[in-house]
Amino acid sequence: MLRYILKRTVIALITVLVLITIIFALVRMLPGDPFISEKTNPAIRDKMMAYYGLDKPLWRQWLTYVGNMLHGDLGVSLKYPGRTVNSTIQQTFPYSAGLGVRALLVALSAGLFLGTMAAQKAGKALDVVCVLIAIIGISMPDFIIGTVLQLVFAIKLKWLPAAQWESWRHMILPVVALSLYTLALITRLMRSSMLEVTHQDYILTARAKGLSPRQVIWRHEMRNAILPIVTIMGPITAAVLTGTFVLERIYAIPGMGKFYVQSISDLDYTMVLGMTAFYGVFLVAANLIVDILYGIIDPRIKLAGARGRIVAMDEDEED
Amino acid sequence: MQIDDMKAFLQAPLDPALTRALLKDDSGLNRIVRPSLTYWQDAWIKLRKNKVAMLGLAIILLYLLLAVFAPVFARYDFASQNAKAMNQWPSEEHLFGTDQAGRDLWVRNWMGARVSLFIGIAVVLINTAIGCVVGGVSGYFGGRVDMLVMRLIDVLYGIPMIILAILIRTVMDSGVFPLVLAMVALGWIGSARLVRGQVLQLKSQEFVMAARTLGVSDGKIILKHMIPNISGILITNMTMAIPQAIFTEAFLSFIGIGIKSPSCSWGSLAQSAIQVYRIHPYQLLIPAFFICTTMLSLNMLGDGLRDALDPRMRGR
Repeated sequence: MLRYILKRTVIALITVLVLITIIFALVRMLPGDPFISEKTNPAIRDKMMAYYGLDKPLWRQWLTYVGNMLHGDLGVSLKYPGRTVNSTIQQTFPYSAGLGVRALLVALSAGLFLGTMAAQKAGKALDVVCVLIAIIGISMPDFIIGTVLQLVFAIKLKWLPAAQWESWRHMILPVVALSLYTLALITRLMRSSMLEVTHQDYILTARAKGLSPRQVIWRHEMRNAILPIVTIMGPITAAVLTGTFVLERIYAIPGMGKFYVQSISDLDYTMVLGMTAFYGVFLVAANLIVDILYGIIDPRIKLAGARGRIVAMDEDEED
Repeated sequence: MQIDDMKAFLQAPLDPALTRALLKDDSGLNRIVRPSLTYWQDAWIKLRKNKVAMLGLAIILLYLLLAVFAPVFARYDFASQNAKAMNQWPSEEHLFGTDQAGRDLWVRNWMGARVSLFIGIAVVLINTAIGCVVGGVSGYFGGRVDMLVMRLIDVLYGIPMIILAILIRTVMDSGVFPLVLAMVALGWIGSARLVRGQVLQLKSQEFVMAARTLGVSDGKIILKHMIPNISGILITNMTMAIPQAIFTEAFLSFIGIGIKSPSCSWGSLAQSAIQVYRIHPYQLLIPAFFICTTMLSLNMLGDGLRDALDPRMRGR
């Protein structure tokens, strides 16, 4: 188990390093240098390059860059001098997290419930409705759901506020829009996973022992069927996160995604790259937590660790 | 010992007389009552029975035809502006109305369809091709190559695809090619993992051993024996990946780093409509409708293909 956690952690760290290196390379690929616009004579320009360490060999610059990143210093905005990437993230990320966590909770609870119900009533009307919700949810990009919900419920019907992030009434539309895709994905996966588990021998044993249907569903079916859901939590977190980019823009929520998209269109390179590094590390960390969680939940991995061998994820993918 | 036996058995000439006798005897018990079906014929029959999947297929074919021919036979050019006809609602003159610059949205919609569908299909084809090579080689040869490739995939898998696409697009020019490149950069990983897993399973099967015993080269085994055997799963996977690629393109265009005006895609049409959609909702709803129905149709078709092509679902 410990070796499994260690292996995952090392992979995650290398991933972060690769990501930072890609970002560093892209910064270097940008045309011109930072002092190109200033009408300075070559001597002063060289001095400034030296001051900022831009005259050093590439590997030294790379080391400094990685060092800054690891210290948590993400740089300064090009567009708004004096505004650092760090302070922007500090101010805006809580809004994004608030939106993302709510959407994730809604999607998880509703998705697990609908998926389980659909599997219980397989082939009946409720199942058809759930499958329909799932396939429609997967086919609607979140920016389209967001704008259409805003158009119908806020602008035409005036039931809910069209924008801003103040009370729970403001939150309904963006949270629903953000959660629908994930909800559909979880419903679909949970349904097929439940259907597969239902035909296992141990469920027959549990029934034969005389457990009530509710006990069989909760104690045996759901506990086993939920494993595939845990494996896709990483990609799901990424989907929710990228969803906040567009929904914060549509609903004028002062979150990080809105600033991210804004700095992309402003060509505020340092801001984009700094925020990308933050998002990247955040998602790698989320993936790592999911992997470790999966190791704790799935007894096969625990056993593999006890025998001193790492079977874990690699062999799971093969079946 | 065992392998030598097998070699001898496979290389031994068949007794022609016996074969002829067996083939000729079509009376009685040896008669084949039903014509035997190939894998693909069987899959096609199953797919044809699946009404939902056929509806999806029909919609996709219709959109493809319209994307190819609608701009050719249209009265307007997709890029020419007309200050006298701005923001017009759909009418007989302009089937889908006009945009803020007075451009005909019927033509622009189908020009956008060309770009969106092209990017969706191209990205998935390239990803699958790379995935087949990397996953096939890694799974087939195993050992150190496989170890290296798997560690590389482990590391790259953690990098979120859309984030990298945004990064690449931020520092590159606009246009279709950089967009495809940004989506291919990490997109191949999924199909590489899929192919590798399948190849690992097939590797230990008897027909591969037979081919190897007969001295067929490795490349030929991968191409002639492995790929055809996993083509069903690959096709299903591709059908499911196209809507994902179309979504990614639309997403990138929507946040302003996709296709640039005057060219357009469904995503960029939705993006340029966002400023005026409270007054002119049709400008947003039309491209939104086509994005959603395309993704829906491909998902429906993909579901049907999975049922028809997956060997585990056969005969159920």
